[in-house]
Amino acid sequence: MAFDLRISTGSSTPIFRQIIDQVRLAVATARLKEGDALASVRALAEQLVVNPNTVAKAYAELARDGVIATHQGKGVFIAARRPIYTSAERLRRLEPALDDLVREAIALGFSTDDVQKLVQTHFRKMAGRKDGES
Amino acid sequence: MSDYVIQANGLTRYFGQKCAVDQVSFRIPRGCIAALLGRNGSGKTTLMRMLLGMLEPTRGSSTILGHQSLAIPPEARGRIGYVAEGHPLYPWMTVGQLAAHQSRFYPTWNNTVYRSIVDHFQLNDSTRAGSLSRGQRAGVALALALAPEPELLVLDDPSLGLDPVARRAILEVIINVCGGGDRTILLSTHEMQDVERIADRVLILDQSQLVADAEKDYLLSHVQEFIIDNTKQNPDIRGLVSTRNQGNSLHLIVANADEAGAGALLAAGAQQSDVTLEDAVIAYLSRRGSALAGPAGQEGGAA
Amino acid sequence: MIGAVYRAELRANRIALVALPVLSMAMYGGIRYLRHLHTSNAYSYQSILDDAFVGGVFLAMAITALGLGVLHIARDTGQGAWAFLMHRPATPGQILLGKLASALTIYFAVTAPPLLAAIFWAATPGHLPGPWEWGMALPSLVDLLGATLYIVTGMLIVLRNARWFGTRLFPLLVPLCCTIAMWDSRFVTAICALLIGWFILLAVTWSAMATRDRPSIQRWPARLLTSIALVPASILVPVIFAAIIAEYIRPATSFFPHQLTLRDGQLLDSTYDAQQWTARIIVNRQDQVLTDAPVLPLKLTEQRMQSTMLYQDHNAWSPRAQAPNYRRFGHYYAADFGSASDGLRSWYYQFSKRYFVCYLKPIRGEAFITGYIGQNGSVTNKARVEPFAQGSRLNSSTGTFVIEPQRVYLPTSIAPPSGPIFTSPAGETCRDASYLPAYGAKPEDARLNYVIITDKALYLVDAQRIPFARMPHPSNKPVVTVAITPDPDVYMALYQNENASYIGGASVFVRFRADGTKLAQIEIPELQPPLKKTFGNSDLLMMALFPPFGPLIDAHLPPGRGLLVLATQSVIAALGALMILRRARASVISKILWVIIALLGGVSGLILMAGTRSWPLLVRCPACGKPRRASVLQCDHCGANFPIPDPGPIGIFDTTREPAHA
Repeated sequence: MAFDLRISTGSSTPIFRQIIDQVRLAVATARLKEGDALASVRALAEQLVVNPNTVAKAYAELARDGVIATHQGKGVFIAARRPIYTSAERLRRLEPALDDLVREAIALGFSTDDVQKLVQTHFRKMAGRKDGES
Repeated sequence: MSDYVIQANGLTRYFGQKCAVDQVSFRIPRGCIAALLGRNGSGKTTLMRMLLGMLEPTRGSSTILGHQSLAIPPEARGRIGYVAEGHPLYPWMTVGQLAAHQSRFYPTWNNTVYRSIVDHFQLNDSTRAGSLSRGQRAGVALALALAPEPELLVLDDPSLGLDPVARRAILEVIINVCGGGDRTILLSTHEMQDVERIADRVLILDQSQLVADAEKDYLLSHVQEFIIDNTKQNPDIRGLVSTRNQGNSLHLIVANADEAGAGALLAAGAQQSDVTLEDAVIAYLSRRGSALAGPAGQEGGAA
Repeated sequence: MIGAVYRAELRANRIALVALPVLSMAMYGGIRYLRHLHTSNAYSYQSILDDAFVGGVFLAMAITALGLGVLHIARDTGQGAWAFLMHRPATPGQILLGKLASALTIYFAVTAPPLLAAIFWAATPGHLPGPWEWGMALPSLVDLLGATLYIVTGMLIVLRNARWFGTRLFPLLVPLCCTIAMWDSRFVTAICALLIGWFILLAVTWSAMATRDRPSIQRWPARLLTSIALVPASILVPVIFAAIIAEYIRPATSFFPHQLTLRDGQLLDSTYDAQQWTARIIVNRQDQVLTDAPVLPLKLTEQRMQSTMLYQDHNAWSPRAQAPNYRRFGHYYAADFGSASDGLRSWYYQFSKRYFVCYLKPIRGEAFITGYIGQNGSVTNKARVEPFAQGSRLNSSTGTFVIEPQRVYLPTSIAPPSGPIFTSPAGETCRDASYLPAYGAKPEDARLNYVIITDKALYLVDAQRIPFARMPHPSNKPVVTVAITPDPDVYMALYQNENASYIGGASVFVRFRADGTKLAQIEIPELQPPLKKTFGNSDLLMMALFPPFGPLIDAHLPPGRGLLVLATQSVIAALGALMILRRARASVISKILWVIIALLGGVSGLILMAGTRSWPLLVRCPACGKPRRASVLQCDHCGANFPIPDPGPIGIFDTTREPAHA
């Protein structure tokens, strides 16, 4: 499994957030699949040289979001994908990123088409999925 | 009571007329890794020495593991690991002799832990402590403090003067040995990266006073940076920590920005951004030197 | 745990073992040198018992001990090192005991071998020209133990938080006092002094170790013992300095300012020449010549040497403590008129401007020198009794002592029952001193002049000229003291002093020729009015330091003026105490107590107060601006609490902050 977490200090994103983001991205890009094991809190803490509490906090949030599941005694696994948010909530969560994207696009003078194409390319690259599927 | 491993209540210490620690009160819960930050001379070492009963406070009191700091029984001392500033060791003893010497005092001495740490630092048992490098000495001091498997670890600037490798090794040892358990750590340091990696709580001592005592993320989420055009009139901002001129823009670090304050700033054309822990701490520790220190300080005093 | 500390300290301080060869060589050199020095002397000292040798050995041992004590603590006094030492599951007492055990081990390892070697050397026949008893080694062994006090002292000196190094040395007074107490005393006294010294020093050092010498967190017994250990030095040091200054200011006086020697009617200052025979005639107030007696014609050096000899012969436990031996030598004693070379004592005499006047006191028929008489006639100091036997000599070929027969007559009423009874030349029934038969002497051999005092009468004995004379006490009071002095001032002082007994109104001094005819006579013109004394700087100092005792020590002032000085300086001291106490905010009882102590003790009371109180740190009150105690939350003046530092809106706290309370 070529999943490798990397964290950087000196960023305005807290470390636990970095862990969450990276796991979510890996799941989203199918680098982590359902049933894949993640390092234990302790092991990951030692690997990243961060406070185990931080890792635990990240795992707890991931578990709450349904990304991972902790089986007592066995370890941490990627959970089955299940929609835990309403579509309205999903939209709300995407909204700020869209805002940023559109603002930058306008500022840099991209057209709507350009943006759409770029989005499709990135979608293919990251998620390996065709546009329109969901 | 037992939820809090360290409780300081109005701890004050004067050296002559100078107040080194000014009525500092805080509590550190069990299992927490707390980082004590502050500039040199801000009272970190004094505070730690008072907590450990090495120095009696001028005023106020503190308890550690439920015992008054000035009357810690030997049994409780055995449950506290303490590495004083500068990693003191007996320079005439070898690494092995130091372990043999210390182990006679501690019934809970775990030589496996000692061995693993000493090996981690690639130390030879027959080396005299006096001829160790600074980083190696730090390793031995840490090993001596950790081998009795203490409940509480107090580290006074463990990374002082260490190279990045030794610093990382120290962090690894701390996480390796202390991680996961309900072992409590209080450490003072100047290394923000280390704090970011291992600390749960952050305490900031500024000129002998405690200005922040919060979970690391709580602290981060309560500090914001606003960037405004510096040609404009400086607004009177509540909670302004520090300002910094950068080109045409003025960077304002603001703590506890409420809706109204942030709104006013944004209305004035400011851009908001998050800050890193390092930025936030530096803003706190350098605020007296900034241009707006006067009004901010006065406002703080009035409120 | 003590064992762990012990082993670690032993390893850390093993460097101190280099003292062993150094001390050994020094001791060997000392023995060789002293032997060389005394071989030509008929009254050869035995070097191992020689005062200089014994003193030198003790000094070396004390310095070694002090150094070891300093060494054992000094390396741990850095902030970090101290934390490393003390932060472990062991009590400060255990750590101190471990260190002490290590220091003692090294101390005995370096001092005992050379000392034991010297003792065995002395005990081996052929090395010393005299008999040897193992008891002679006892003083050296006691010294060996006594010097251990300096180990604890060294530790205490380093542990103390004194600002100046000079004041750090204050604890040294404790072992110094113990050493002085042990120096001239019996074995039991010496051991008692040793134990008391250890108790005080150990308690104070332990307390200093446990609290890093911070009186504010020490318990009261520890503080009391600390002040016992430190306050005497803090008083003594300024006194010594002031005395030195006073001595410089004061016009120089000769050592024996009033010695009276008559030679052809002229007053000369050469009383203490062994070759001079100065006779004194004692006349009562009705100008009747009662008797005269020659002053003992002794050379002091000779006398001292002889007493050392006697010690050697009779094997006292200490060469410095001849006093316990007096019974062995019969019932006569020569007054030790002191000698200028006698170290501490001569210093004392010079400092106190007192004369070398002895007075004898009859105790069960034996004449003792019990004290010295000051200028005002008061008894000032207990003196030690020096047994004296004139004419005892060492026969170096046989290593035995020859005591030439001497004679003292004692009335049967007071003499011990052992001696033979005979009739004295004055027709009185006397009992000979008991030593005489022991040495085969006969009564007719007696040649010596002595003063014998009973509770009824004073006997002046001169076997040569006036064989036996009895002088009734003019007041018919029991005679308790007698002055043997050439000093007319002392006579007058004695004469005028109600409490002091006197010799019967001596006012005329006469010198005789060898054939007994009168050569010259001097009369002391008047006995009244009282002597005029001047009030000196040292008297002022004494009064300032010890108000109630100053006048007793040296009442040179007329009573009215003395009281005035006393009252003034007591009031000043009390006001000083009040001012200080106002700051210190002591309890009412404590305040009253301290003011009384300052009233009684004057400057010394103030010093005592400064030594025992822990002084509050005062800072400016942010509310009222007056100095207030930093250790108390509430201001003594305006009642305001110290403001809790509030970072205001920039403070970030995720806990509710509790208000600080003291």
